[in-house]
This record gives sequence, structure tokens and C-alpha cells, in this order.
Amino acid sequence: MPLVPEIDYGTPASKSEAMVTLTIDGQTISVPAGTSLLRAAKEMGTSIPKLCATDSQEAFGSCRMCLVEIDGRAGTPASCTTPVGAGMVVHTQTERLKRIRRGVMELYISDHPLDCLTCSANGDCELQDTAGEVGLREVRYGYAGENHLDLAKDESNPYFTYEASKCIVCSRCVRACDEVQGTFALTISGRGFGSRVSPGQDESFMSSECVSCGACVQACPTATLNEKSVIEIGAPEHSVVTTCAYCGVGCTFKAEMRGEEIVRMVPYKDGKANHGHSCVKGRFAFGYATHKERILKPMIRAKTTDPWQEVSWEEAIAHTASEFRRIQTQYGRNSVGGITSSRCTNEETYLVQKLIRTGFRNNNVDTCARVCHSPTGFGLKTTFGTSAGTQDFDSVEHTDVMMVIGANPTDAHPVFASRMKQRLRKGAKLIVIDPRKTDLVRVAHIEADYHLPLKPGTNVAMLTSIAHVIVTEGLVDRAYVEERCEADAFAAWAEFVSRPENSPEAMEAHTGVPAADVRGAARLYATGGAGSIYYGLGVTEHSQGSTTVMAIANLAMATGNVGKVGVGVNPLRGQNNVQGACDMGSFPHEYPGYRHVSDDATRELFEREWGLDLDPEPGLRIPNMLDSAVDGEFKGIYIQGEDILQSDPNTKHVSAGLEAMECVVVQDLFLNETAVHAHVFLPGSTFLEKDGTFTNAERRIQMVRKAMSPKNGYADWEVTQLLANALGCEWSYTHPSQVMDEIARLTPSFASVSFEMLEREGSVQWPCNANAPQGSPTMHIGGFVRGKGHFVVTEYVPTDEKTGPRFPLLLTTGRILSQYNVGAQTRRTENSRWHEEDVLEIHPSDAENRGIRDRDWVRLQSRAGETTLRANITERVAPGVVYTTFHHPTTQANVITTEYSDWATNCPEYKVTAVQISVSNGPSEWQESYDAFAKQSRRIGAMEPAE
Amino acid sequence: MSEEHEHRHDTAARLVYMANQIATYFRSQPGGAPSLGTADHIKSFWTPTMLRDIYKHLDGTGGQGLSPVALEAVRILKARPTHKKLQGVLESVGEHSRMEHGDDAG
Repeated sequence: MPLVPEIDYGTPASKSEAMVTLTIDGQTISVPAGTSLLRAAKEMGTSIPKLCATDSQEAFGSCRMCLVEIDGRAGTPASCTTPVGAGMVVHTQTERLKRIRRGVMELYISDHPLDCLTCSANGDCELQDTAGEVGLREVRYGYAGENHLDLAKDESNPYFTYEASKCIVCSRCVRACDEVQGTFALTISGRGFGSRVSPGQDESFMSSECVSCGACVQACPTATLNEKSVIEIGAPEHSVVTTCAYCGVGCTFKAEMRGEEIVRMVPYKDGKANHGHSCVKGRFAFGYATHKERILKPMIRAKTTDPWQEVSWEEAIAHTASEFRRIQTQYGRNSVGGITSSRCTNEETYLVQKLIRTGFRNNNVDTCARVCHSPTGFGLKTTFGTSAGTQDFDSVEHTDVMMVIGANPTDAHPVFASRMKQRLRKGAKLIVIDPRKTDLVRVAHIEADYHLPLKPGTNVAMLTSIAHVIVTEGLVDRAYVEERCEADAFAAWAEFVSRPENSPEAMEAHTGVPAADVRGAARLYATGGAGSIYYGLGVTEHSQGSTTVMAIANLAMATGNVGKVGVGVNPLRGQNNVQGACDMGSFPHEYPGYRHVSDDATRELFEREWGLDLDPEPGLRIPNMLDSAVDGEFKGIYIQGEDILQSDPNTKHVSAGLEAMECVVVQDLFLNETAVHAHVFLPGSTFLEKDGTFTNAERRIQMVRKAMSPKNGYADWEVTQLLANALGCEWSYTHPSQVMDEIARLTPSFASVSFEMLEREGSVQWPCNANAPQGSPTMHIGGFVRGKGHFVVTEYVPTDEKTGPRFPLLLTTGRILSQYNVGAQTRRTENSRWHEEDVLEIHPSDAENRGIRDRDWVRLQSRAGETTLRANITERVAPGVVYTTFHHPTTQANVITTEYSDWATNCPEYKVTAVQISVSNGPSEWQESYDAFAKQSRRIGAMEPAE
Repeated sequence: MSEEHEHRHDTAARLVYMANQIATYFRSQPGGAPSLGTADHIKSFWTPTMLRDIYKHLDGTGGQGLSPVALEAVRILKARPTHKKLQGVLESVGEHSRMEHGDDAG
């Protein structure tokens, strides 16, 4: 198994449909108009030497290496900057060209260290390769003259080095940062001989604006920017193409290996979601896979105050099955349940819900989407007929107006954010609806046309007032609505939103946003061309989360912005496989494919396949499981790959629920916070250790491929199968492909999906069946899945979580770029260098009123609890609003959040909590007691003497 | 929920709150019969145990705390028959203890 090769065509592909025919080195070739000569030659099979050109960037024409001669034209133009012309006759190799290239290369090498044998890029260096291609045999100038060989090495970044002495100033890194990533952190400082790559203003990489996406490292043709892991380990010898296990963008990577040791993760150019780009998490933060704190042996204990005892897999599985059976016998069939993981594969998630429905014989299965995008499922199914976004990511290239609501893509979906920024720099308009000044509001070369900084909890008021403008100002796409949508529902909705109380002027009292801005944004979205809406958890995690999703769908339908490229409603999913976990039947009321358990035909289909009767009634959602546990009725839970103690709201209630159970089984990589309350720990496997599929935010099903053996002995799907069989199921899967085949048999939208198909096609977007054999990049073309689009009246109902004298501020929560969710993975990597603790963002006026200075410890109190963290005084938040992340268990931000939740789905209202802050001098009582309990609970008997 | 009670765990209060939230939404929808919409939504997403508990609350207190729409929805639900399949499932797994679905038949 060799390294997976990738061809660099030198310049990006032309998207022209017109073809041009020319002759290169005597061969006739036809290519799209606008193609560079460099690319045309490469497509023909001829590699013209190059250094500054790479096909992820526009042509630059600086290295003078890719020169060609063209009949009838004077000189030796650079082939990267010269487009093909009809009838052109091109020569890529002549005596003149050979002489020039060799001379140029000689100059490059005269100021480059000749340490190739000990260089970390030996064998993977384009400079080395090009020197060979041009036949460089000597450097006549010597090395005694002025040079850059003694320049200092910048090792400040934890993942890569910048060795300026090896830089040829090709600007590929600078252009990667500009064109691909869109951060503009790098520049070329100085002039002429003094020209050098400079992060920021001659700063170190770590202190500059660099976001460590790795695009510059990827682009560098020498060892100037090189991964530290390559420097330490050496060059990889084979690679495995797989899918990132961080956010819902679903980037494709090559896991480059040496034996079973991972050397580096390199973004894969053929990845349909990322097109060769990456972020600091997927690119570099894989160290958790081999972290010393990973638990590799099963453990059990009778009480959570006991130390853990390591046992064999056989004993752990037998004990777990025995406990679940005991509990069901003693407390009833519905006294146990489980939670599937949005970090695990589709196949693993499918098996967990199957275990619960057929092994536990109930529907008590839920998933982390409960606390993130469950309103998306409800809202989009109600309005459009499908519980998923409408577009692929590439659609953004064709959008004219982006409306970003309650999402912070530069932090939470960074690779897609780079695509958004590319489009915005090319002229698309931008509306940001968010209480905070997120990066998209104003960042290098981008400024939102409208930022509507609404008060947390007023999304429905805002979106309904936008609808008011669209309807009352005659901006509705009447033809679209009449053809595509239910007439009665539209009429009722239009009448509702037109009421004076829904005008921007009336809603200003709720949202705090000037009506004129709302009107301007509404007009822009409705009249600016192809309008797309991208949203995140700032939409869903509210008491009106589902209503907000439906309000978004209303806007898209009213303006004709569904069913074609460049438009749509696009939920930005949080976790790598949260879309897949939902698709796979992880909800207590739905089988795979979003079909209700009470639907007789669907249930009979599953009963035939699984060979037993199934429960026709919905099961418990996660919060209901915890409530029921506190009530003494729910006694056992199987949790695969979730950390509900840290991620779910009102930590004290979650803790009480878990502690009330008699058998909590946690299957995870680490002893996470939930495991503090567990009785069985089953070691999990990483995405590098198994085969399967993930489904990203654009419904794209992609392969996850095993790059190394599971360090714990089993892939997660195998552990679930062991448990299922111990419970009496008779499963005999030998490979996840068999699970996907079963999914395809049972799920119409997956009917044509198989591992064989995914291997052949690379990836596919569901629905993928007889009607759409190649999948569905854009949904609802020509008509909605449900038939006619359904408008929904969206009355604004203020949340019951209200500010008052005791709790005058509103807390809202979110993520940061370097950390991922509960941080179980990223906290065990060098990513913590960027974010070693959660901090509280406070507006200067709120801080001053309370005598709080930057970096002070502050006590954050709500009706649910209190915690302590450091202050970050910033104008990113508006007065009256504070913000923090939830990545660190020492902070436990969810001690603060409450149990208020979405009316339709019980998705928690994380984004609105009334709080008070005050100066503090140390951790809260809860933090201290939890820390002591967690330490005690994590003791492993084999490592410590019994008490 | 009043501030004193809002974070104290109380199953009945929690279910009443949920039902009222759902009823508030359906009350805003055109076409009338918000209690039917509320009842259908509850039936689609609540477990038999949750239904049992809200019926118990209805029987015990007359539905204290339920909004008029939610109260009507719970009454509608209580009058509906149990899914015909459910009894068979329960018998097939031999479960008779804590048969929470009994109340469901109304």
C-alpha cells in the first residue's frame, strides 16, 4: 500500500464550457478556455518544471521556471500565467528553455542549504525534484557571498517549523493563507534580496494571526514550512484516505503512515467537502489517538465511589449484559436505554439503536443531536419534508447573498468558512445575525453588509420581522410560491407576518436591532440574487429552536431560494457524524430514514428484517431519561461516545440522574466526565482504527478507513455486537459493509448506497436510490420532498429564562477554533496552547460596572448554579451579554445552563441563560467538590492499592 | 414555572411545562383545533410513561397548571385507544410489571 499520489496541475481548472484546441510538443489537445499552458501540458502528461505554481492557487508567475516557447511569439512566457489559445503551438523543452531554467535554478540553489540528506523534506521536496528535472549539476557562484543560510528557525508553532534559510520566496505560503484560508496572516516583508516570508509584522507564527490551518505547510515546496511530526519521525511510507472525525464539514484526509504510526494528516484534494483544505483540528490535532490517558482495557466497579477494576472483554461484556437484564427484570423493560454517538460511524450508530430496539426491546435511544440540531430535523421536515440541509458546500460558489444566522463558521466549521470567505471576497453580500461580532462581521477583506446584533432569544422576532418586510414590500417570489408551495398555508403566513406587531419597528423592542437595518437586510436577501441561509446552534438551541428553523424555511420559500444551486437552507452540523447519527435512527420516535415507530408499514419492515416484534411507542429522550432516573424508574444506560455530563445542560441534574442509575456503561476513548458516574467502562476506538462511513452536513456519505489496529482490541461496532449477542441477539457481522447493506435494504434514501459504490464514487449525497443513482447534491429541485412547501406561522414567544435584578445579564455559549466540543480529544493535543481554559467574554461597560478587570477571576451565577472562570473584556459581545465556551471540565459551563428547552424537541436552551457576574478569588464550591469527586472516581484499582 | 420551583425536579411540573409550551405553539397556528395539534405532537414524541404521568396529574389535580389548550389535548389523548400493537409486544417479552401502558388505554 503506497502513498496515495496526487497530481499537481499547477493552476486551478478552468470552469469554462468552451473548448480550445492547441498543440503542445507536437500533440494536439483540447482543453477548456482559460486553462493555463502549464495545466494543459500536465493534463496531456507533460510536466513543465515549476516552483511557485500549484493548482490550489491562482497563477503567480514569479519563479521563472515554467517557461515555454510559443511559435510566433517573442520571448519565453511563463506557462502558468499564459492561457491556452486556439491553434497555439507550444514547446515545453528547447535548448533555450533548458539553459534559462538551469540558470534560474542555479541562483535558487546558490542561497539554499545543501543538507538534503539530513533535511526533513528529503524525498518530498519540489525544489530537489525540480533541480533534478532541469539537470542542475553545479552552482558556479559558490556560497561565500551574502546569503540567508543563518536565518533563525521559528519553532513557536507546536505543529510545524518555519526554517527561513530554506525559503525560496515563491509566495505559495502567502497565497495559500490569502486565497485558500483567507486569513492573510502572512506576507513578504522586505524588498529584493531582503524579501522574506513574515507572519504578521515580523512576528513569530505563534504570536501572529496565523490559525494553523496548515495550508502554508501544504503549499511549501521545500522544508521551509514542515510538520514537526515529519521532522521527528521521518517521511511516511503509505497513506490511507479517510474522513476527519472533528466537525460536520467532513474533510477528506490522507492519513500518512509509517507502519502503524501516524506521521501526519494531509488534506486530500479529491475530498468533495474540503477540496484539499484543512483546519488546525483535522490537520494537526490527532495526538489524542495515542495519548497516554487513553483507556485500553475494560473496567467495572460496583459503586462509583469504588476504584475501577480492569477485567477481560469477556467479563466486561457478560457483566454488562447481566446487569441490564437484572435491571429490566427488576424495574421493567423500559428502565434501560442508550445514547448513540455522533462521533462514531453510521454503521456503529445504526447498531447501537438496533441493540436498543431489539436487545433492550424498547425505543429508549437518543443522540447528541438532541442537544444541537434536533430542531433542524423537526423544522425542515415540517416545511420541506426532509430533515437535512438542501445544498452541497460547493453551492456557496454560486450564491449572491449569504445570510449567516447563529453560526460562527470561522471557529466551528473553519474549512467551509474559508469557502464562504472566498465567495465573499469575490463580491457576494453578507448578512450576519448574531449577538456577537463574530469574525465574519469584519475580517481581512470581508465586512458584513449588515450585522444584526440581536438580543439572545429573539431569533423568531427577528426572522418574522424580516418576513414582514418581504411580504409587505412586495418582495415575495409569487410565481415560485404559487407553483411550489401550499396556497392556504402561504396566505395564512403572509397575513400573519404582515401584521403591524411583526414589523421591524415593533420587534425592535425585543431584538434591540434598529428597524432600518432589519429592513435593509430583508431587502438585500430578497432582491440580491441567489440567497443562501447558513445557520448553526445559535438558531436551534433555544426554546423556539424549531420555530426559528421553520422561520428560516419560510424566508427561503418566500423568496424562491430553494431547489437550485447557490441558494437553500444550510444547517452547519456540529459533530462529524451528527447528520448520520440522525439518519441512522438515533431518535426515540424514529427508525433509520426518519420514519416514525408508530408507522405500521415501516415497523413491519424492520420487524421482518430483524425477526421480532418492535415497540410501536416512542422512547425516552435524553432529558426524559435523566428525569426518569431521578424519579427512580430509569436505571441503566449504554452511552457510546458521548459525554453528557459535560455537554448537556444543568450539570447538577445530569449528575443526579446518572448517580441514580444502577448501571451506567460508558464506551469512550478516555475516562470522560460522564464516566465519573459509570459502573462499566468499555474502551472505544478512534476513527483511525476502524472502517465505516460518516455523513457530513451536506448529506455526503464518506468512507472512514482503518489506518491502524484498534489499540483497545475492537472497533466500536464490534463492541456493540459483543454486547448485543450477550443480550441474546444473534448478530454475525464481520465487516461494517454488511451493516451498510442492511441500512440500504431498510432505508429508501440509502437504497443504492454500499461500500462498493462509495469506493467507486468517492462519496455520495443522500438521497441515493433508483430516482437519484448518483445522489442528490441539491434537494427539492422541481418540487419539495413533501410535495408542496409548507409555510408555518412563527409567533414570537419570549423565553421564560428572563433577566431581572438578580440575574441581569444574558449568557450565551459557543465554540472556539482550536477546541472541539467537550474537548476530550483536543484538550489532549497541543491545541490547548491556543485555548487552555474557558474564559468569559464581557463587554467593557459591564465589566467596569462590576469592577472587573481583564483576566480577573469572576463568579458566573445563574438560577441553576455557579462556576468561576477568567474574564476577557471585549467588545465582541454587546452590553448585557456575556459569552463563554464549554470545552473544559474544570469550568463546567453547563453548571450554569438551565433545563429550558425547545418546545418541539427538548433541545436545550444553551444560548440564553440569565446570569450575574462578580469578582471572585477562586473556584466555586461545586467546582471544588466535583474536582475531588472526579479524582476519586477515576482511580484504577490495578494502579493504586485498595482502600 | 415560578423561580422557586423552576429548577426543582418535579416530573409533573416538567410535563405540564412541556405540554404548555407545545400548546402555545399550536395555539398560534391557523386552522383551529390547537388542542388536536397539541395532542398529536405529544402522542408522537412522549413515551407511555410520560403519558401515564400526565394522566395521573390530570386525574389527581384536574390538570393543575395546564393551559386550556394543553388541558384539552391531554383529555383528548387520554380518551384515545392504545396502539393495537403495543399489547402484543408487551406479552411477547413477558413483561407485566410496571405496565405503564395500562393507563394509556384510558
